[in-house]
Amino acid sequence: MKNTLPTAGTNVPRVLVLQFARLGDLVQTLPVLTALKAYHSNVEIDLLCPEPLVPLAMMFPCVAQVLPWPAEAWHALARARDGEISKVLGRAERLLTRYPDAPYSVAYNLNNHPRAVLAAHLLSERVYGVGSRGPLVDDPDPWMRYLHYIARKRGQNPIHLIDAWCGLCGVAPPGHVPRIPEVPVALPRDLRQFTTSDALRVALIIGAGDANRRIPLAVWKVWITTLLARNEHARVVVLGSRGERALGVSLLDGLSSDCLGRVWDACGRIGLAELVAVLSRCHWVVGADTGPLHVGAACGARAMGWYVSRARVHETGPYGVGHWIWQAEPIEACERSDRCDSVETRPDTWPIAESVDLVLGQTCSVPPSGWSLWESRHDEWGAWYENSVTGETFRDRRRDIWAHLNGVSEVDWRSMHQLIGDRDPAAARNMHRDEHSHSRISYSQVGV
Amino acid sequence: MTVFRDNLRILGKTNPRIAQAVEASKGGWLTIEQAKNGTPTARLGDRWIHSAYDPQQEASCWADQQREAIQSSDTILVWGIGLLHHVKAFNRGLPEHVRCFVPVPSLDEWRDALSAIPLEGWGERIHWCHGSPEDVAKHILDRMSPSQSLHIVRYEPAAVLHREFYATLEDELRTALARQQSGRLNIVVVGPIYGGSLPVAHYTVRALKALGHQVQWIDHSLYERGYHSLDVFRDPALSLAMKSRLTDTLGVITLAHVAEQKPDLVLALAQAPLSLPVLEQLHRKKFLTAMWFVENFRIRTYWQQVAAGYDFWFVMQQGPCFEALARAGARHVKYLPLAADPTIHRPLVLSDEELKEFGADVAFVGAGYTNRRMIFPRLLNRGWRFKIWGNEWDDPADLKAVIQRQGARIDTETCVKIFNATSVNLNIHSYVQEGFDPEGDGVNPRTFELAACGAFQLVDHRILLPELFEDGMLAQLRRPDDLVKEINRYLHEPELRQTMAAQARAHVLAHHTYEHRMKTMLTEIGLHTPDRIGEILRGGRSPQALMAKSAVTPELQPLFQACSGLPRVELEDLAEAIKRKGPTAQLSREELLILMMDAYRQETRDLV
Repeated sequence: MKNTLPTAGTNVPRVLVLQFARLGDLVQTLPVLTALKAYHSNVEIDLLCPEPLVPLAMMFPCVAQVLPWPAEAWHALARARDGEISKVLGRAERLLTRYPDAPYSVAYNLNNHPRAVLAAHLLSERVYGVGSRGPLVDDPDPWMRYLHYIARKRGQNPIHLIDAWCGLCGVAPPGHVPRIPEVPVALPRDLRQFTTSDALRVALIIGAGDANRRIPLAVWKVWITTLLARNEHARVVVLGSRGERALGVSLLDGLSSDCLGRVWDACGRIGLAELVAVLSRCHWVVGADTGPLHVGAACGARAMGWYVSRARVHETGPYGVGHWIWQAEPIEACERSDRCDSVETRPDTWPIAESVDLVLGQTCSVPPSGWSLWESRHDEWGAWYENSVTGETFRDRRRDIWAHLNGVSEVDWRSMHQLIGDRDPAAARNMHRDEHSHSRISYSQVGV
Repeated sequence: MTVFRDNLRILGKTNPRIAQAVEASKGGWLTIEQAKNGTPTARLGDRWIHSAYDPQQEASCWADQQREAIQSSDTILVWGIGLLHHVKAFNRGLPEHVRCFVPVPSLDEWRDALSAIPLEGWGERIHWCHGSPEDVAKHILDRMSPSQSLHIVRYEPAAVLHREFYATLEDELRTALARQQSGRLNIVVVGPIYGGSLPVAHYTVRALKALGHQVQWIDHSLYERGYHSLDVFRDPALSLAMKSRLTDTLGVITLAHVAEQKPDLVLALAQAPLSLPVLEQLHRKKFLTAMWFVENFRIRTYWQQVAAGYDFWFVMQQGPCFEALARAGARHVKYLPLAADPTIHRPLVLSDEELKEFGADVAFVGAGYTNRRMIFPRLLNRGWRFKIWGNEWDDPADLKAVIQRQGARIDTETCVKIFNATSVNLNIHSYVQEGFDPEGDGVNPRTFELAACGAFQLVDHRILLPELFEDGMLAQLRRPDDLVKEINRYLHEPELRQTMAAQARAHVLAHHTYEHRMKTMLTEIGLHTPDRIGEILRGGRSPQALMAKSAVTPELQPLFQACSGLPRVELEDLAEAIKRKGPTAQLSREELLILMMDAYRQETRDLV
């Protein structure tokens, strides 16, 4: 049975939020934290995240304490293969002594991984979100099942992942889009020059954690050249990880002398705090669906996402208002397929001139073949995206889906399939059968 | 003098004999001086045994490092006496129930220490033991329970002064502990693609299985044809490069097996295709690795590239081999001679046909090394039936008449028949020059195999042979010039041959089988990883043992009971037992921690 959500405003001194995933997921946790803070107005929220990401999480405005999760230490302990079990347990227990406020009365877990579920149960008395029914319960609640479903059959999901996380935690999406405040950080001299220049400052993310989402280097070369040719005040900083340094060097080597002094290479040179400092000074951040793109959006830059492979604008588009997303359209076979999880979209053409137009304040009336263009919006039901040509949105479906997942005692999966545009009756039947194989869920006490 | 008297009084209460012994000693072995901080320190000649600045601080740092690895079920042995600063510091943080033995190799050294450092307040609980290594080993083992593990801590600056004493003591302890092995290990054996160590890999796998361990043999001989097919390239450098690539791939395949199997030990035989990067990857992922290098280190020198990669080296040679490996970065090197497999190497009753084909007065089985090519012609035309079996006898000149099967490679089964059918089996160790190898130390597998077959052999002298076989078991040859005379002698004494061969066989069965070797190897590894291999070998991971030790965590007792049908219980077994409780089970904190570690442990995909 689902735990009863603590009543809004009740005396819950501290709550813990767990986010064990990567950079992009961590920065997308910020709106969830904001929503939780609005719900528990008088409580302190602590955030548990992977140790290397702590410097970024420390900048989140609504977090009281950022707690590092030492995944490497846990790996080492699990691999040690020696010692009495009691002693090994003792060592594991010592790893948990880093969290003096544990056990928390409430934890919200946002990760569907056993480690996060177990950590949530180890560190708190009650767990909401993933694993709320117990660490061994393979019976996700309706929001989790919804996320599983859209991961499998993309359909026309209108709910952004961030808002789904809010649903999972039993709170409404945030009323406003939070920002990572600018923190004074000493930047390398050349980057100081970039950030203080009186110019149109653009950050270009050349890499992506998932190689399939990476935009070809040749495309970026043309993009930069086009931008700089069309606007003499434009300046570009190229951002990438340490592993992408060679890409950065190659990109800059391939640029003509016209670009000299107008492009900065920061690949692998700056940490998370410096990344935030640079992105906070940028007017635009451009790149694939990757962590730094979302950091840029959260820092106040307008994001221009190029969504290829399995990246979908409605699920993981930049959160906020006024961001642009180029969505590579899936092939027709995928539209008809019951399972689209293996389908990748790799366009033949790229919206280079069109996206430069947008950065320079112009409009795009006809996207190139194989692409659609979406602009981000936000309201009380969270993020939504509007097709810039057709005006198509899935805005109104969100409320109905929330109602189906949160507001009724039993979820009607057949209606749900219609809502997310799944016209395949077999898939609907399967989902319905799955639903019946699990226990019924009472959702009368959710706090939305 | 007061300190010494007080110490004698303390020792006399618990061990009057040892107190009398140290009182009768002279001392004066160490030079005792005052360190910069005013405490006593010592040196032997120019070698400082403790810090000249702050011996106590130094001892504390050393003790802290050592204590980290101590388990509550350990019995501690401290190697090294000096002025005992390290023993005192180590003792300070030791749990009350943990027993600590300090063997005393030299009473004179100990007397020096007792004259300088008071034992009061800490020395009373130490079990001091003095005597021969055999006596000390017995003293310690008599006072240990089977569930306890020996944990040796070495204070090297002092231990190095009595290296031989401690080495012998370790041998004694190892031999005794080998007899007590009961736990089942999960071992991956990595064999070569081809070559002389391939049959040894077979025997090793069979022996480990016979000892009750779970063994997975990664048999790279499956790729032998492909490997040799790369000789097709005209450019030898290209062939070599391709072979190197294939070898690298086999190393990665080994990693994949290890990732799936998650063994306690990865045991490689000589020529196993494991490069240093592969070994380093295994080391990073905390897998223990051992190499049994069953080759002459002077002839095969590839060990230099991988010496630092293995946790344990076992070699068939001693002194110079140890030093060479240590110089190349090997962490732990131990002597482990070859052996025989009595299920293969055994007396046979041969048919008349077999006797006709394989029988001879004098025979040799092996490859045509330089020394053999130069020695054997003198055995021709002596009126004996003389046969040579084996390959690599190209251009044999006069020996052509006695080379069997046109120099084809002889398989093990045929080899055993030849041994059984020959009156005088020659066993001349390979050497790339004329005569016998003057530095020849390692003893080849043929020595043990012939003996196990009950076959008589005439073997060239090897430095390490006397400690493996007693006089009168094998006929030994000092010089090639004696060969004809000795053959003549033994051909005319069939009863003597039979008696010697029978004694040699009995001796091999009692001391030199692959099962003996594997026991010794595992005990050695267990002795140096007491909380890991050592604990498993002692049966410390059996459900019963875990139950007995679970007073600290009674919450886990039901889990151990749930695993009672298993030979040993690991983290993953406990995790499975927890998961079997079902989705509605209320889990304890310990159970959640076990599941957490299991979740991380399962992530071995990054091994490959």
